[in-house]
Amino acid sequence: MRRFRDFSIRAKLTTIVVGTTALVLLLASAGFVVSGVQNVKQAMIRELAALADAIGTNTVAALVFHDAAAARETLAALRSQPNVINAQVLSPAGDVFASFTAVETSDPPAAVIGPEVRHLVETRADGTYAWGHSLTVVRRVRLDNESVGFIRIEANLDRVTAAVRSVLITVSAVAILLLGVALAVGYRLQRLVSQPIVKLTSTISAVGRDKDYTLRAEKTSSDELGVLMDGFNEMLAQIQSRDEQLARQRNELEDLVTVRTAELQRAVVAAEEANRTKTTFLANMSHELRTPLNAIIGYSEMLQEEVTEAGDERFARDLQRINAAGRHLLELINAVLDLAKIEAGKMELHLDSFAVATMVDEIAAVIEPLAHQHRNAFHARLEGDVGVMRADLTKVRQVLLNVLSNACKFTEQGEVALVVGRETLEEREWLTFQIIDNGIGMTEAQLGRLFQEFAQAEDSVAGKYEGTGLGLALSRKISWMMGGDITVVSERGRGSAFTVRLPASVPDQSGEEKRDDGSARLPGSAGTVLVIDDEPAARDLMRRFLVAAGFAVATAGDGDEGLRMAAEMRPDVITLDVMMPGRDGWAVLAALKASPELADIPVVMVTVVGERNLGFALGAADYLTKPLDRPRLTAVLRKHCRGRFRVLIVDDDAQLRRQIRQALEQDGWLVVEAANGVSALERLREESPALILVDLAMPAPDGFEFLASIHDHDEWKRIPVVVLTPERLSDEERLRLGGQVARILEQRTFSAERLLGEIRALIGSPEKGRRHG
Amino acid sequence: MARILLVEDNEMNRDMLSRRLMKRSHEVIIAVDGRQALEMAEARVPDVILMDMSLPVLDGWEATRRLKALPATRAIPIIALTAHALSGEREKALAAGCDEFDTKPIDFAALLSKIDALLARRPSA
Repeated sequence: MRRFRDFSIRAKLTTIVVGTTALVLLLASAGFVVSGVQNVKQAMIRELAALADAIGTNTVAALVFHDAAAARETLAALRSQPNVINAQVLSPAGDVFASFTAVETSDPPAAVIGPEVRHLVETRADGTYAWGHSLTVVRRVRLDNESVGFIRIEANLDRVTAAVRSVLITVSAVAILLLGVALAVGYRLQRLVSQPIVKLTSTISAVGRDKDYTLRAEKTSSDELGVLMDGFNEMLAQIQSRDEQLARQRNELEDLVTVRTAELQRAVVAAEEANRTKTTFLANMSHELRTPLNAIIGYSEMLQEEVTEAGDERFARDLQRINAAGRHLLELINAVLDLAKIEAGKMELHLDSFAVATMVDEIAAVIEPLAHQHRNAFHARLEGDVGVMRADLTKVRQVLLNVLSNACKFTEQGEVALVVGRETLEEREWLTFQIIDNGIGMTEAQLGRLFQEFAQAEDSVAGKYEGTGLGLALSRKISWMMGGDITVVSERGRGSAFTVRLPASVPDQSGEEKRDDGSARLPGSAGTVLVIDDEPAARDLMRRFLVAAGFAVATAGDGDEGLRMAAEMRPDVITLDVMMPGRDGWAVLAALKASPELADIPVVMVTVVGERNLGFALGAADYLTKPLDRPRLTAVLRKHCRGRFRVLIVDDDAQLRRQIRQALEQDGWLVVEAANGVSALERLREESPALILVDLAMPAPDGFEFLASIHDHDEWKRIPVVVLTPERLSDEERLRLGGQVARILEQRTFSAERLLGEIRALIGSPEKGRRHG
Repeated sequence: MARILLVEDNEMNRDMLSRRLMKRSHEVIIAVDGRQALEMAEARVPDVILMDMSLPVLDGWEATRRLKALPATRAIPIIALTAHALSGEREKALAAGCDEFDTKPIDFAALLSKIDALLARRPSA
């Protein structure tokens, strides 16, 4: 059963009202009953006393005269009284003188005339009563204020009992009625209190559930509950207003963020603009500074040479100083410019693969004389196979040379060592270059400033050891750019150990497109190159480089695709990788040379494999080994692209040759001249032209013989030939020319227009040709 | 020895460089701007051209492009000389048709070896 305190308000209030009412009714009813019974009793006593007194008066004579019979007769009159059980007339001594009983057979109980009657007799008291299961009245019988005896009457309590019953019935009925009324009224009244509370609680639940702070409790009264509602509503209002304030502030904040973002974007644009301006300024400044420096360094160098030659050593030292100061200044400018470039994000990495050992050899060659200047021993050591590294060679060299030259500078009659190793850390390959010396070393404080710009070890040191103070700062930033770092440990007076750690393969700076250079030649104007290589990185590198050099580039990832593309686009030149899965480079080369349409496209083999002769035997036009030398690659490709538009003029008339040459060159053709058939064959052996112009009238071997000899050559017989003749050819002569001659120009006077028209009709124009191969 | 066309507008640099080249028994011809460079190259057909890129009248970039477009001069190797050390200059020079590239101030020994390399590469003409 639930405890009362856990009842609902409604149940509690009802219980209280009904309980209180019931209690009050109970008490009131009890009062009624008690007082009712009392009244009945008093009435009965008075009645019996009056009856006894009447009998006493009638029995005075009988007592005085001891007439018992008369007394009994008088007592018998009591028979009419239904309640009287028995009655006696007593002598003054208390003895029974006469007696009456309602029931004949029953004797008067001796106890009735017991101690209380005896007490009355002894004290001669007037009218005394006693209680028991019945009501007994004893009255004195008097004669002239003298007690002559007593009358005792005992009556049953039937009348009292009946009275009690009737009172109880009445009171109970009234009580039940009243309780009903109380319940009804109480129930109605408790709602006054409970209803608002119930509503309040449902409002609270709704607010809690929906987080809707616009809800309000409905106020119905101005009592304490009303105050509670007001308090609750006030609280909701405050929460609501705070919510709104928060939302407003959030919106304001968002607006503010938007405004700030826009401001920042403007600032970024302005900063980028400023940065561009700065870079341009630096470029111009650098130019302005370099021009006079050029003169200072150049003239001092020249003078040095001259005084040395003249054997005049007086000025040599001073000139050397001027030259050294000039070079120092140059270093400073370069370092400042490099730092500015790094800061402006303009420093670019030119990644190449190179053998680390070769680079170390080159560095050692540069550093050795520097080490000897301070009488230091220098040695470079490779720990294990250091292999190949992919990085910006120039910058790696710059960093190592900088740290090494510092080591040489700050060491006297000591040792400088370069120890190179390769290691795997965090699943990446690294190259470590340790530069160890036993020179003057550095203190903690000096180490702290070491990589800061313009902070040299200390003034006294700076005075003695010339340097820019920028080298290490720059070296570290360059190392960072390549994903590496420089660290150092040093002890004053004992020496220093620098560690340059660089990734074995520096990642490409992705998303950084080369700026389009407006001044560069038109894309593709240098010719069309088809690159066949299975390695995507190699293809990409080649494409980027060749596009920058002005070529139009197409790439193919395997031999079959390469052959298909070659047939489709007829490139000016093909670069072909040898090591490819499936159809390898040799097979592709053989297929190209076996196809009549593709055989004349020059193929440049690009490979790490050194089988040069096999390449040439299979018909390769050129052979390049990886890693590629860029200028060499460009030169080779340019040569072959031009070869596609090469015209060989074979004529003994120098005047005519020059005329033709001028006309052709103005039209963009590359012209090769030969004065006779013999030298023409030599030119052909050097490089096949796209077209041959032959004057038939030449001294021996004449045009006919020349044409016959090229007809015997497999590669040459496909070259179209235009014959120039001042006279009309006979049928026999035409027969001798055979099928190879594509055009015969009979002209007494040279017409450049006509010649060019014929050539264009035969093999297209150089411009057109470059696009369509 | 070779015939070298030196295209340079700065008098001091021109004087210094030409004297040093002549000391090494090269024949040096001079042009002071891009237009003159074109004329001299056509008239004298040098073996190598040393081209300063910032020139008056016609700058080195344009002069180079024209030289490389002319049949008579396109075979002549050109070494670009620039005082700008900004990245991209080298690519720009090569794209304009230059065969080599050097920044000022010139490392004379290195320049000589570049000239020699270009001369050696030349087809036997």
